[in-house]
Amino acid sequence: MYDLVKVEGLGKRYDGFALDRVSLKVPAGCVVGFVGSNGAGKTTTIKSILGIVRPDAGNIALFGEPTCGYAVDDAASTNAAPAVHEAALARAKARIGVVFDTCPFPTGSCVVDVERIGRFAFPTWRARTFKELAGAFGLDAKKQVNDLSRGMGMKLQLAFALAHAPELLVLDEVTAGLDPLARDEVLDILRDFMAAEGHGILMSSHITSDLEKIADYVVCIDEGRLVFSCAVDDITDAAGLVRCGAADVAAIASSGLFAPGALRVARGSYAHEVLVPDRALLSENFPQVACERASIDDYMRLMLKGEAR
Amino acid sequence: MKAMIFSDLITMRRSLVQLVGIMAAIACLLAFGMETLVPVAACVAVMIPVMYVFTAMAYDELNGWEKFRLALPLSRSNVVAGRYAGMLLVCAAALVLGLALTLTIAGVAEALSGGMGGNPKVAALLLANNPPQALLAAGMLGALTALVMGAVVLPLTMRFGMTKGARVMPLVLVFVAVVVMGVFGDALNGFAEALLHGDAGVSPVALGVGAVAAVLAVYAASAALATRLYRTREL
Repeated sequence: MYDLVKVEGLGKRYDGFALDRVSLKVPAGCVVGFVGSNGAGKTTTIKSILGIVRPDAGNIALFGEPTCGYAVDDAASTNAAPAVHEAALARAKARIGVVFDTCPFPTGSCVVDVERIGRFAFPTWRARTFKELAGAFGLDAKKQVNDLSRGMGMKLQLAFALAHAPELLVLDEVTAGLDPLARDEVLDILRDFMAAEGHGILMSSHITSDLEKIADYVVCIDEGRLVFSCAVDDITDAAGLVRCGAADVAAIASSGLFAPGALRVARGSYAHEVLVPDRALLSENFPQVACERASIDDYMRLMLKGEAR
Repeated sequence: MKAMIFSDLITMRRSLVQLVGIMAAIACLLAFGMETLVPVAACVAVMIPVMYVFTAMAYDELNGWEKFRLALPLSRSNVVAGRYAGMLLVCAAALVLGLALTLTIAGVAEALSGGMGGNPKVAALLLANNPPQALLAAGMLGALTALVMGAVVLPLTMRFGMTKGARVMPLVLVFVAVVVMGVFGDALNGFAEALLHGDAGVSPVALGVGAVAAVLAVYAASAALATRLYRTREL
């Protein structure tokens, strides 16, 4: 499958934080949810992909073309930072729609100014599409960016991101701070976008219920390190969450049903939680233990905080 | 680069309109207060580009616009080149505006001079009392001053951003002034004296062309430096 985004071994070091060899892919036709706690490195990864920060290590390719990386395969062993290929990056960015968590357009500009900026910035800009989207979102052309609510600012960004017919959307906390209705509207827009062949979305979010509705894959990082990367179906359709006593935990762990380290156990005062990779298998062998469907939230929480068994 | 120039101009449109209004008022005050047309074009040509570039840099840091702009299909070199080219365009436009304001004030003085008899304040603003060469030279000097200021300020803000850059700026400006005056001060004074006495040995046109060429060379070198600095900037 063709990868719209391919990040390999991405590294970036700041005082007190380091992104450590993060790898992820956004295959064409897929929505990839990008999760992790605050300060985990999601935004740094997204900024690195877009060339806003300079990585200290790793390779990035957008639409199959390297935009940042080493000239030779084994250069990763050197201490030099990878080179950013400016022209390739600019070409790739013309095919990407970006939405940040806050409306980034210049203070004092109004909706019609934002449209004009898009016209000059993108070779494939479609003024009519922007006007249609702005109209559908209830954005008045004369309205100033500063006067837009958070939800309207997000819609303005979406109209801007979609009006140049992008193939990839990179969304950083796009639904954060929106009410449930506005979030559903945004998700509908994203579903419409994904209806076209070859499109893809990389979407960082803390609202994992949104990802369950729309994402195909989920990538989780914590403290700059990749924690897991899997299909959403592997979590919501296959994985299970068990709340049980210590004896059941010991029985499940010693059953040999799951590979060593495949279980995650969070110990509590009254009950323990066990994340199992295959709830059907568990239920078949432990019918007396109630095993419920795991959400991305449960999965993430136990993968981050649980003890591997 | 075109996208960057236009995004700056679109962003700055309202500020520029306000600035033009303010400068028109200042130009009138200057002309009538100083009883000469000479500083009008100079003031407009220096103030508008400098205010433009400072406001544009301040806008960069609001709402995360600078970061978002790098997510548009612009390379970092495009951003720097666009900012420098934008300032150059605004500088040229400000010079034209300054000269137009000068002529407008002169025209008003001409119209008033009939009705107000020999009022010396009005007479001082007639074109007959303000040699066109002096007006043009003053305007050019203003524009070149603005470009030199841009050449010093832009690399700093491209490297450090407006907030941090503004803290470093006074130090650099004083350093540049001290170095220039220390190294070239005597020569410049001597040349200025010679110019005033008409024995500098160089025609005003050649001097003007030389000054424009020298400032543009400094401006281009500054753009090259700013491009290098902005390439490594973390946003």
